[in-house]
Amino acid sequence: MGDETVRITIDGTELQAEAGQTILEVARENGIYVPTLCYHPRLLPIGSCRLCVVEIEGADRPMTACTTQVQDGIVVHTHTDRLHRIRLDALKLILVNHPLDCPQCDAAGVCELQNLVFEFGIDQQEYQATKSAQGMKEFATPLIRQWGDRCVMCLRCIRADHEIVRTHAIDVVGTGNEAHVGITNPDACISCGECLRVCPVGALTERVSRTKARPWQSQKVLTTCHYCSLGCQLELTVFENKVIGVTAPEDRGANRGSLCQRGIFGYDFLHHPQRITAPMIKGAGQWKEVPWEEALSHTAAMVNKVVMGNGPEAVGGLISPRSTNEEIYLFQRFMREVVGTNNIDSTGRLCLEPHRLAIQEILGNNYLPYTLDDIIRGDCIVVAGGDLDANNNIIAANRIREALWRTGARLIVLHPRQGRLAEEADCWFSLRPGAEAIWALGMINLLLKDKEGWGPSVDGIKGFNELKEAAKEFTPAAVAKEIGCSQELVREAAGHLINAKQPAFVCSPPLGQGPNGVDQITALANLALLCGALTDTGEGGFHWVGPQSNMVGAVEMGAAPTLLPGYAPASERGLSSVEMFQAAAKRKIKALFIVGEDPLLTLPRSLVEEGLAALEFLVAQDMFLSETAERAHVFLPALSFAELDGTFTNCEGRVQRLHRALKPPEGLRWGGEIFAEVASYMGSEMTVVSPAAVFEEIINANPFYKGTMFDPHAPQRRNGSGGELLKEAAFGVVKTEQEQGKKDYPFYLSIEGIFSSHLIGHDHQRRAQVLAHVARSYLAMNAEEAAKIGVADGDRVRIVTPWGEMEIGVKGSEGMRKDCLCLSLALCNVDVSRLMGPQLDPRSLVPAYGRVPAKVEKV
Amino acid sequence: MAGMVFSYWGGKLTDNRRKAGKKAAQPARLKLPPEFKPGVPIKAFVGWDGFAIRDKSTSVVDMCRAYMEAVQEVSCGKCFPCRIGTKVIAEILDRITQGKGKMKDIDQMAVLGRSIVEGSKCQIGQTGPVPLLTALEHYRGEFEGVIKNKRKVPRGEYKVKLTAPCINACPAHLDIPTYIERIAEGNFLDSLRVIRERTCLPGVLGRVCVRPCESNCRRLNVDEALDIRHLKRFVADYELEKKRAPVLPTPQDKKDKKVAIIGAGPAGLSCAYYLALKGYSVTIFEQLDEPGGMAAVGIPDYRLPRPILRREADIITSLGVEIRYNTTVGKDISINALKGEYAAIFIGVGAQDSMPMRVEGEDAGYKGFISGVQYLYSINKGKDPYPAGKRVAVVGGGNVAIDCVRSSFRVQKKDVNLLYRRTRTEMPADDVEIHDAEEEEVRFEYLCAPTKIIEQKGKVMGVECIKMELGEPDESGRRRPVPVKGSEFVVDTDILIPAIGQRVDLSFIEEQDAIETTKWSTVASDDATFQTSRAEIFSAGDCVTGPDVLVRAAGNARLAAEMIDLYLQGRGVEASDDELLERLMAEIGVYDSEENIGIIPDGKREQLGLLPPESRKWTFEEVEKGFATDAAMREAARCLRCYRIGLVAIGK
Repeated sequence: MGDETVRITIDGTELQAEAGQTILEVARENGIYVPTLCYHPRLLPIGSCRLCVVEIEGADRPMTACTTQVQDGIVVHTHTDRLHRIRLDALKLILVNHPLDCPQCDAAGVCELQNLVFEFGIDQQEYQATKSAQGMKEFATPLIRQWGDRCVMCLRCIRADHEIVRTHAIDVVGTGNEAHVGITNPDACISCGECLRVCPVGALTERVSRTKARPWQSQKVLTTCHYCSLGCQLELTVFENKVIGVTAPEDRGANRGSLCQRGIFGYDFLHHPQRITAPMIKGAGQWKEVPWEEALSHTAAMVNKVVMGNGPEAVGGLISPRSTNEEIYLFQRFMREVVGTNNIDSTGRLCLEPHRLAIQEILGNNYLPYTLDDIIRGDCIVVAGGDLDANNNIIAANRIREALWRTGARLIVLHPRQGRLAEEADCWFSLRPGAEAIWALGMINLLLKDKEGWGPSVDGIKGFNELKEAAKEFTPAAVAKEIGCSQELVREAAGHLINAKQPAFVCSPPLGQGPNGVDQITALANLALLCGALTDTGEGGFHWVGPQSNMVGAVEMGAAPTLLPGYAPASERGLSSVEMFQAAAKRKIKALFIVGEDPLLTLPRSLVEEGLAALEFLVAQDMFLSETAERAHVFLPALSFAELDGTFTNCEGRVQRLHRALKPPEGLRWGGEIFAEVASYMGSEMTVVSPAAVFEEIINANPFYKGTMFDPHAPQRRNGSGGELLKEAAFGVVKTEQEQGKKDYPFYLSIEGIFSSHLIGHDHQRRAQVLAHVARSYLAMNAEEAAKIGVADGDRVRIVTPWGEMEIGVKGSEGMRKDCLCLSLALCNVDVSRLMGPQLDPRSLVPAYGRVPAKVEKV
Repeated sequence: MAGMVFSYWGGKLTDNRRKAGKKAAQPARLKLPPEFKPGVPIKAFVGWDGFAIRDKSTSVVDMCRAYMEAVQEVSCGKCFPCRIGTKVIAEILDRITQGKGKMKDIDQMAVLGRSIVEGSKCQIGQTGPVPLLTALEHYRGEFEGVIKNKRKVPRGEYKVKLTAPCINACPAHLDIPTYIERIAEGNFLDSLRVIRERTCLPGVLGRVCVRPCESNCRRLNVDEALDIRHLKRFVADYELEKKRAPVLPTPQDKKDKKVAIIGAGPAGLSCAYYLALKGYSVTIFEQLDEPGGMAAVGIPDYRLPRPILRREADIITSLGVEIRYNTTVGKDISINALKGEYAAIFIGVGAQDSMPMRVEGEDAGYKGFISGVQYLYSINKGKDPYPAGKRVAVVGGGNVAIDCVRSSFRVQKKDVNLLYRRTRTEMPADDVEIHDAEEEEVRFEYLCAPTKIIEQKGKVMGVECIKMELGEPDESGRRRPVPVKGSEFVVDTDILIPAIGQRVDLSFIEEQDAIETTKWSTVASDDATFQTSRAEIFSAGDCVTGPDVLVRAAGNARLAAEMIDLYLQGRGVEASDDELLERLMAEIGVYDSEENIGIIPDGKREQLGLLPPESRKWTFEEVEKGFATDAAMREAARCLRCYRIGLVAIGK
């Protein structure tokens, strides 16, 4: 489809169209209006509302424009008396069951039915039919209300649920006039809000905000989501300086109108009563609000004191990957130029670095040019690392689902647990995290045997012979034994890769965040290079999806001990985050400046506690008094993402704008201003005018950002570096030694969701309060293993690792590898970091979030 | 009451209301039997195209009410005109029959009815108001009378049936539009669930069904029929490829009665599956060492890979059905012995004996003379039946003959011929099969018949044939081949394979079993209840019908399971109303090849990928590749959802 052109006539105008397009698509492209109600550009057309009927010469029956494909030479009429009558009758029939509560309806003013009734000038209708009243009730998720009587049965919500998310939580129930949208499987609902956002009327409404406002009273501000690295574009609905709802524009960003539960419902933290809006200094264990000048000058004095007394190397800085590029850039300038140290890091780097190192090794590049759109052109997709659904990278997971339907793509999932994507997969490898390299070598072994079947010429690539040699021992039998699957499955997966023309890899942490982490990714990237997923043209591709909104920006702006902005190597390596706490414990680091990070929750806890306790000075900048901030000496209140102007760089390299939607509380200022003021008190001048001006500075300092704009006219990405991607390609060397499990710890634990769950808050401090209501953290373990220790779903267990323990509810699953545990965090748990050990991967300087030795006990 | 009072069907009006006796005309288009079942006369019939009245006392108004309520009942609720419009009309009609009608109702129903017909998405709405509109035209007086007199109309007794041309044509009556709609929506596993309500062999039928549905597909009138068969295969393969646990209904509570089934072919397996779901303990006695019967050893693997069949048999055994392989009833165990242990017996042994060619020398036991069934059996069991033979000649024109020639290549025979007495046009084999065989370069010799086997030292050396020409049509409607005198010629061959038909081997039935058989040497069983002359013994499949299509064996065996259930529950063994209605619809004719659908062709039928002939012909690898997901969804979206509702007024 798509390459053939046809000529059609619509309402007397001759038009060119692509074969395979529908009449409606062609009409819309050419500005010809055809009314619709059930049609939605992201959903399969079903021709149910009958409003888009058109007359085609030669056809006796009117046909629906949304479902009829253009044929060469057809003559179409979109507005005739007959069509008007059919449309009018269809609309009148809808109104038979539609309540007249427009004045109270949330959708009033943005209601598609209202618009249609107005357009057709209907002021009365003569039909009657009894229908049982539906009333208002909770939908499949408590976050959405359903007003059944307002529903027009366009089925968009059901189709969004079935086609985009594929949870099948809702469906048509009943027949005839009693047919309605029913909740058929509430447990399946993931509260993604996809149903809500496609509803053309007010039949589904959100219940996060208590405040409601008319569309004409409120204002929509386009900005970038601050949760994960997909960088969804969303619009905050603002009324009286409050966000009262979130929507997403259809035509912006990688999300194309979709959002996840966090993006759409997770905004009430913006107006949280526990938010701190004044600077504070701790004295005698008590926080005391102080004027800004005092807090900043005190901070400057304390940092200066350490620098003077112990040298700049005794100061360290951590900055959150949810800070803007401009803030991160200025913070690294502050640390490097004002303080004079490379001791700067970010949890964003912890999530990106293993991937970057692997790509660097194979292609000599720091990042890849692919976009999420490339996934849907993939015909065999390999998913490795985190469970995209469980980690709420649902937009990425849905792209994969789209490929399964759009191109009939094959899907291979590597994960110890059979999550939702694994259920849809052709091949699910229930492997131990850290065995990805073995799997990849097994594939390489078979691919090299079947050189006939696939195209790319790779013999010439450096390292080919070594790769061939390395893959030799990874026969299907050996791999099957190591992974614990059948040889047929290994062969089948290899067959899919061999047959694929455009394979794609979608990977995410905790892949790479365990022992030999970088090797796992290198091995997968070797396979990707071999089978043709890494191409210059950008089809399929190799994707890295991370948990933080500015994961990429954090590293690219230089929040890394080894890298300056633009991946330039630092002349002297600073300390990574974990190393800073190790150094603090040894009294080598004496002062820490922590911006938005909560290391007590995300880094090995005992180490962080030890380090924090030994510090002379800790300054924390945050919206809330986080676990870490509680232990600070100075607290600086921070702005929320809705109060910030600036940019984020998403996982595809899109440089996207945050627009200030809310006026910040009195006196609060953005990070850049704070860093400049502290610098100034320290005696150094950092001229900071505005985020826009800082962005100009970034463009000059970071060659990859050249050509981008603070306020671009169209979506932009930092330098794509496609084209010659493969010029320097070389297969990487991979170590496959597997660390043996520790005695008495029969399980391998992986921790997923740790970097995003703290935004939702924890049991003592729920930040996104409504979301916390549906967020569930749990330990997934094999059902048989759970039974062995006498626990059932929902029971509490104690997870014990060599470094600590925590308690949590368990979820037994048949589809879970026996010797693995997955800690799936939606709501933050303050004890999770107790489970982590202090060892770092020597290459990436990342502690282990995967493959942690563990045991489980009944509580 | 034998005559027709009124009929409007297919645009043809027959109105005998004012004509008495002999002047009354018979309706031109509608063939409506006088009885629904013995003793239950049909008073009237209402359907998608109009209605017919046999009994003057029938109330057209109430009949229309009942029909519109039936339409509303089955309306899927997705498109507005049908969902709400038919409800509006049904309520108006209900009001009228309550004696509360208004004169303006008549016009309102007419206007809205036309609008629904014109504006609805599928045939339920497009045809739903048609009989009402007909009635408003021809029986307007009756409506006016009821409204004017504010008379309550008593409710009649009706039977309602929802069907579709494809469903009706399918011997197993699969709910085709629904399972296809599920595919178009992407609900593949739910599609399979719908299929399994009517057959447990989706992967098998999805490959080898002769698909009567497709020749009754209304899409044919627009462009090309839907590829219904391969859509079924797609969902069956989807479940398999995605390694999903089969979607099966929950079996009913275990019952204490046991049923024996003879033969693990399509009929036996189907009967076993539905009995197991009803909670019965089922044991199948199978003479081979694997399941599938003729589907396993009669259909070559390149058309039906054995793992597909085995998986479907595995699903059946997973319900607790036991299959005793290598057990021949009549030899290893007698029917009489089964009667002792089992409360009911189902015979589904198929038709595996070859029909003789009536050619000189065929009983002489020459080396190289092998019946088609035997030939395929041997190959399917992994053995070249006659390795010394290199040249092959197959006689016949059915699917077995085509399977024989195509399988011959696959056991590395290079010189393969097919001899058929008529021309390609008359060949009963599936056209796709013939086409594939041509691609694989089978040499077709049309218009010839074997007359004599040529042998040397007990080995086949060739076959003498005579040229034929086509004469007058015979009872099958095909032109009868007539020998051309003196036109004999010889086809050299080492292997001669007669594949001109099969018959049932009834030797396992003993006289004391008292099971009646027919003069065509088949098991005599009732065509509605599948009961044999012995109340506890039922039979369906090829052993009843003679060689027939797989889907009929499977479909009838499911019905037989229903009957066995009735029997074992001690209830009357009789066909369900639903099945009787389906048969009635068939008599009326659900598909009209002349119908103008009124839409333009858009979206071509999706084509399956095939292995290239030059490489595939030497291997048993499956020739046809299944649909990819996107292709299956596009193909499914072509369905016109031609559901149709028939309503029969019965009673005195």
